[in-house]
Amino acid sequence: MLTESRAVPLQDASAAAGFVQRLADLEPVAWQQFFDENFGRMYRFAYARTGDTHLAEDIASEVFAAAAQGIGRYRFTGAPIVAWLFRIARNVTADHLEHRRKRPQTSIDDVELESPAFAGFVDDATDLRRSVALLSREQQEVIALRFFNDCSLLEAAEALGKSVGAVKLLQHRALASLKKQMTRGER
Amino acid sequence: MDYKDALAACLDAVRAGQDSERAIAAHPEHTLRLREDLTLAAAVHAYSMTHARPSEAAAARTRQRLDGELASLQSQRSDVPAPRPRFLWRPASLRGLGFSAAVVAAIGILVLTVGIFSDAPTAEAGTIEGVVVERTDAGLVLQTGDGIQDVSLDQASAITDESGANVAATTIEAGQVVVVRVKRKDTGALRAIAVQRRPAASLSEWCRLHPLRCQEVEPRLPRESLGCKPACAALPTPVASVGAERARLQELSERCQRIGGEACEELRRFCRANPGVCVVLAGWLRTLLELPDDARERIRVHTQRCQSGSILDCRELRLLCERLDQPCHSLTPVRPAPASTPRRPLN
Repeated sequence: MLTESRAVPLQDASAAAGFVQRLADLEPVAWQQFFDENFGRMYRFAYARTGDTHLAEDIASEVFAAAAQGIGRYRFTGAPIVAWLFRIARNVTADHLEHRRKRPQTSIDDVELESPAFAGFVDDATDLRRSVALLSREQQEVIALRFFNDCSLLEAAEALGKSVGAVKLLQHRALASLKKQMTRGER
Repeated sequence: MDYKDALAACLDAVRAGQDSERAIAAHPEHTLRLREDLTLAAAVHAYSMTHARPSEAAAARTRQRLDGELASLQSQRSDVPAPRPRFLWRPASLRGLGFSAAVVAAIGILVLTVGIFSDAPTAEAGTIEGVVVERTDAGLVLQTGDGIQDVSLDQASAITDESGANVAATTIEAGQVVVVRVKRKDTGALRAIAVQRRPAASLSEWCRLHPLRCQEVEPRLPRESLGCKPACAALPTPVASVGAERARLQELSERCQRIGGEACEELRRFCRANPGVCVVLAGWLRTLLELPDDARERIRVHTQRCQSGSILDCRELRLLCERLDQPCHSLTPVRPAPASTPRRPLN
């Protein structure tokens, strides 16, 4: 149940295990493939959580550096390896947000941007970003995985360390909260 | 079936390419809630597709960092073969080149990325890419992927052309794509540390990545810059031809948001008659308005986004074409190709 990784011939467990082994052997071609398939996904995850393009780029970069350092300790269990990458992204993102909370900074993204044409469209998008930012961490994460990254329930469950049933409940609550926040924003 | 299970089933069905109304019809007891939640989920997905796209520069920087990590790890392992040459990491667009050309290109890219991004990222510094819409006495007005941005230029700002050679600031003109390394002043304004002019063809690529913003660029450019310059030729044809429709769409979308009801119906009718304009200019709004889901139009949109590098859209396209038994020609994402000419650092 992969999305971007579907392009890779990893349909069966042995192929997936072989790919993991190539990563563990630090094979450049395997890492290039791994990077090409997943860099965008890590960026989107981080962007969904932070709403900051520069921070999202930094986080995505750190995720791959951490993955290279940690691949030797990774044990293949049959779960998609992208779920492991998302778990790294969750931790790295949480660390960055905690750091930013302690040391508030102004990002270039915070600059108010003029957008005379289609102001309503941009406002809607801004409302959405702000509403996502008001959700709980777990709700943001499930939104980031399911709707920013088109992850399956199984992938999301692996990445969040939860059961599929728990993810169903979490996504239901996340959408309900998001709807509530956006409705509030309209008042 | 309780609501959370029905919602999960519908989301999975839509994810697999099924029509949302058909998915909802399987759960008549939850129709209204499901429709609301699926619309919201579609809006979030559309938002991510238009707003959450990493830059080429970020990908190149991360690849370089990862390359360094791997080389370092390999050197620590005695049982692992020696690190492979860096040119193995060259982008797909360079793989067809000969050995020497590939090495030269890889070194060029390496030098460029090291040169531009060797500073640790801070809250005050950053790199932005955009189209110059105006030269002012103080600097540049840029159309970026996020909107309009003023950037001031001063004597210390380094200006280079696409080959990395220093050029005069006066050679920067409206319609050119530039990559600007900026620093934030105490006042909050952005100052250009270095400006690199991109090749003329970059405008077309920029427009493919930022279709909505591209529509905003054209009316801002001075007429003379569209007369005979390469920038004009690089703009996709719809940009020059949708002026009236765009104005009408803007008016209708504003009325729809202000008044609702009949105004939104009018907007729906307009978008049915002008699907190309509505898709290009307000894809997100289109989703919210629940416009009719025309298969040919979906194929066109997914093809366009697939060619812009969206693997998710390639997947959607493949599923759609399989389901409809339609011929699909663009199932492979075309990643933006880096310039093949080695460039020197901005500064």
